[in-house]
Amino acid sequence: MLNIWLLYNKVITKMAPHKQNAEAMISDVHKKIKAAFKAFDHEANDTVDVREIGTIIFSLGCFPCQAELHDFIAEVEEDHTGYIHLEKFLPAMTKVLLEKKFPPIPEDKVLQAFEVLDKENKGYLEPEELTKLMMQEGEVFTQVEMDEMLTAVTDPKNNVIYYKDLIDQLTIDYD
Amino acid sequence: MEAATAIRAALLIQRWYRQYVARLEMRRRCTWNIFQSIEYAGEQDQIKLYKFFSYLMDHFTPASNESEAPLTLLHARYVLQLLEETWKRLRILPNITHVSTAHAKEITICGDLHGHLEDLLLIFYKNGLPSSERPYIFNGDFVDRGKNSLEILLILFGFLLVYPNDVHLNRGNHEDHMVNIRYGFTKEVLAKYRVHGKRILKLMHKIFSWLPLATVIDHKVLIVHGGISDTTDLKTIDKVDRHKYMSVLRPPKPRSNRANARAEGRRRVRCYTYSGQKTVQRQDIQRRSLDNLPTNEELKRRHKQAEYDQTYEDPNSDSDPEVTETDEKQWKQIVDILWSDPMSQNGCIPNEVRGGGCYWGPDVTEEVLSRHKLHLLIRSHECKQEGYEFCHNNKVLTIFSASNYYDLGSNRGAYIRIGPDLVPHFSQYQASRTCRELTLRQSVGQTEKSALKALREQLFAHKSSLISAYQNCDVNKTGMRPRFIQKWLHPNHI
Repeated sequence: MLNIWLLYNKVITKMAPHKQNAEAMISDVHKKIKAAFKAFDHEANDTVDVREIGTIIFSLGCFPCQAELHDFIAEVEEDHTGYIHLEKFLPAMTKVLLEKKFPPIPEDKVLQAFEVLDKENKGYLEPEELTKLMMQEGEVFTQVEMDEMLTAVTDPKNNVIYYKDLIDQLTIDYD
Repeated sequence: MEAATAIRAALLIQRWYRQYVARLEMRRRCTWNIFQSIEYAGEQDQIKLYKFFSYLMDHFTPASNESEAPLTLLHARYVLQLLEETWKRLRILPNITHVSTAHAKEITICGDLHGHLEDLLLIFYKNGLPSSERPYIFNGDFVDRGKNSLEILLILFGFLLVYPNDVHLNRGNHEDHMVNIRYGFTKEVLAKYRVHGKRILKLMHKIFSWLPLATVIDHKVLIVHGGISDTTDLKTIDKVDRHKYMSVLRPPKPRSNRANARAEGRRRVRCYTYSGQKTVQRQDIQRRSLDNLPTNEELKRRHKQAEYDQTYEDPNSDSDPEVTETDEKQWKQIVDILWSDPMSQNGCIPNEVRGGGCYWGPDVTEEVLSRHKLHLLIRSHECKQEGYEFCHNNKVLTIFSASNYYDLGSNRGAYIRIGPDLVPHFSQYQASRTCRELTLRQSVGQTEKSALKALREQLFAHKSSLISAYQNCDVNKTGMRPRFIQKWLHPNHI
């Protein structure tokens, strides 16, 4: 009898930390999601404007593309009211984070993408080259987005984009 | 092939960059929220504070507090914290505070409050709470006599800490531990805080000794609690170590002599009477032993001298040490500004009624003000029927803020607002609904009754001394005494 009891105890103590870990982890995730959500909850009534959802999701370390973002919003939006309630957002977002649905892009992949553009291997890009690609291919940038990007990434002295440095800078920034 | 690669590259860069922008936006949003919260919290605080004072006024004015509902006290821990912070703030202040009307235009000046919380609340209600736009100067005597000395101090200190550049406190003669023992503050604190009272008092008295001694507005208006004397010199006052004088009833004790004093078994009390001369002469210092019965002379002097002298009977007093002349000069400066009263005749004579400080005349006002290039002296210290009173060709202004000081209906309280033109504007009030309804005759009658009652009580309390005094005068042993005294000494008369 005693042996079985001891065995049972061992099993329980081995399991318990894991169980605690899982619970703690989910609790952690919930906290993060709520904090990000609250930043845009202007009336403190657990709702945010649907147009801010993208920012919230990105800030949680996810890298969805626009199509994926639209799909996610469609799931959680309150019948096209333009608002999203925490009640729906929390479980959906928790799932996204736990399943790592929209993982970060590795640095080297970003570098490769830029090198595709830089056919001559100059080590930099002309603003026109970047603009052409960003506004014509893929999930195109709006004019506003493009202007903002150019202002942020163009080296003021030489009016070019040193994309290697850029990747380093923007990646260090990430928590 | 190239096209597909280009598209993939574009997608990647766009996704990557949009994420970066979103993170920046989140940081900007959080920063904004912080600023906004601080801004709203400040406004919230203002509203909360206003609501708190409204509540106090509704619940703690005389009419409403007649049932003596039990007060919820601030926990001693927070009282001590507040006092600690106040001390830290006060000790970096100079002896004389200089304020200017340039920034906030008008400064409000209040006189004696003497524990009358209802008057302070009334002032705040009429005039607004202290703030950067509404600076205040409180001219001493916050404590004793009234029953909310502690609350007044906590409120004043709170505002001092929140608006350190806009709330100024001057020391009064009642901010003195020996005066407090007799006139109620010590008792109030020990009654309200049975466990921590002593500790609170100790810190309070340290704070009192660190209160600034004077305030000057625009280098033209001097504000002190009591007044001046012919020897008043602001340069000297500026230099004193004011915190050495926990009580100004006697000069500071050099540390070395304390040990000797304790070695002397017998306790002795010293009486320092201000002689009005430039140097205190040794023969004026009287030795009084508690063992000897008082002589007629002693009796006369004791009855004349009210607060200053009687508070001197401190059983814990040490023997008198050697006092340097500079110490005495400095001490005299301080006693004068805390205890003196104006008189209508020229000159400067010792203040026998108070037992400390002096009576100073219009010529002294003229001389002292012009010597310091000042235009006006604002002081408190004396109760005035209308709450304020000018004298000395309008060069001296007394301001008194405790209404109904002697009794209900005895006097109004007042406060001053003064702007860059340095012309004082007065506001008067009386903190009680009922007394406003009395006619002048009724309120005079009421106050008169109270005064007579108080006098009767004193006579009865000193009955035996009075009788023996009369017997001593009654050389022929006729047994005659003035009839009214006879009547009043009768116990049934009280």
